[in-house]
Amino acid sequence: MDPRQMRSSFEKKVGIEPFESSRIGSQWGPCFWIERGQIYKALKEYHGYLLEQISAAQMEDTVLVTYFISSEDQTEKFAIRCALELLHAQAQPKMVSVSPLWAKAKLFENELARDFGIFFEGNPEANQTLLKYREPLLRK
Amino acid sequence: MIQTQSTTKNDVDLIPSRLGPVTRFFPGPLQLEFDLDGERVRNIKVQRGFSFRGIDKKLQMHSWKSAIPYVDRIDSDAAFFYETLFCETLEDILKLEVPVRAQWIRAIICELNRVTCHLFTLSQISSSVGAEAGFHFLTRDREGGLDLFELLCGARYHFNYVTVGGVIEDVSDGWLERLDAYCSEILERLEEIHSLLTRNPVFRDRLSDRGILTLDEATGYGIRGVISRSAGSSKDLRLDSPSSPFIQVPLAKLKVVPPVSQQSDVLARWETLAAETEQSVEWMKRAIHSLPAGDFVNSKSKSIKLPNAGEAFCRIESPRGVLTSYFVSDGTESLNRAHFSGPSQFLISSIPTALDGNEMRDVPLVLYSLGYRISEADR
Repeated sequence: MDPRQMRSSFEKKVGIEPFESSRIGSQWGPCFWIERGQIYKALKEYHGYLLEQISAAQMEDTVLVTYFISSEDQTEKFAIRCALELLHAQAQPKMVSVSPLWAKAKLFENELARDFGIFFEGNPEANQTLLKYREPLLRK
Repeated sequence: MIQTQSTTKNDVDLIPSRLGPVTRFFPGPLQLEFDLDGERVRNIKVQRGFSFRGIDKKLQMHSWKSAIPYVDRIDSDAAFFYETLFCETLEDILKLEVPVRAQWIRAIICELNRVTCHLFTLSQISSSVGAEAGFHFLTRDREGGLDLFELLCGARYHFNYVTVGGVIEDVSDGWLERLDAYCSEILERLEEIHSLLTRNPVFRDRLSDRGILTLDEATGYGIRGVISRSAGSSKDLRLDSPSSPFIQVPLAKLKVVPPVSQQSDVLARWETLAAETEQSVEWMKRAIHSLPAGDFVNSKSKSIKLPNAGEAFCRIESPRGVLTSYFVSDGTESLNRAHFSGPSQFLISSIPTALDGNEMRDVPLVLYSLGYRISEADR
């Protein structure tokens, strides 16, 4: 599907206008940037789709969290992204977990909690993961 | 070794027990906590993370050109898939084209790697039910594939053969003929395995109705690939994603239809793994004769010093399921973010469902039939 068509389809389906669109490589579709608080609302509309991966990358003081989504028949491939600001080194940004929508999401979220210290509210293993990786710090 | 925590029986006679993390029954270090209801296991909890190595971080610490050997270590049994995916993702960022011959060579070695990987899983299933003859036959057959890897690149496990823009060397003289002979041999040997085990009523009875995982459950856990196909799915990324050059050129042309069975127990996984092995072998036999001439590597790849700033997301159908990668480059020599997501973590998360209600003696059988690798899940 054409990226412009996909964007209008996204806006129509979710009711959110992305403030930016970008492209993730040549093998994947467009990436829609939305506010952090709108992530769960947007992904809820794509509950029947496949969640390919949740990943993140740090750009200076910002962590970009990206959700890769594809349709069952693989005709629609796109990503939804939000930015989290890290105010200081010990900052623990919070996000809403999408594990109620996809059971596998908790595995991706645990990895992001480990790598970037993001706390996913609603993740059944969030507190466990937090304790697991905070424990060495507490010992110091 | 089984460690019984408490011998006190409650009103339903459940005995809390623990197995692992290091035991010869498991494919890798993993801990199972469960309640024993007589001989049956209930309320299973899985603990993993005993072999975490931080490979994603290591990939970000080294230059992108020297990171390929680290990728091999994520899953040694399916290392060609990781190498290929790593290079495809970098090529996407660099906007580098791969010569058609190199795409075909990558496809052939990946299919050979799929065959050795499936043969290993089959041999482990066979061994876990005491069919030692099947284990020895399948291991012997797998060794032939490892010999071919050694002839190709000098290594049996950690290959370092695929590179950005193609492959390091063209296939050597006589290698394709040896591969053809190996494929013919494997087809005959698999027929032996079918007559010895697959059609053996005792063996079938031992495998059937164990480790049941329905398609809905598998999909819920995020499982795709051979385990999902053994539960009735017909999805195969090799055929479904024509945009990927690796998948598009070599496999889609030959119209390979994935085998689909409607059962979802260990026997169904055995039959699907064996059928996919045959499918890959037959495909390789045809692909050898269709290998196009040309360059084995893009000549521009050697002159590239710094990657472009950008990001890419790629997928590949590995022997265990769909493998994904997400890389971000900020234009420096090392990657800003290198993140793989392997199928093993989803297979491990399905263990409580697959094992629930099975007998204690079937625990290794079910675990081996899922075909996960701890090194891939923990990384």
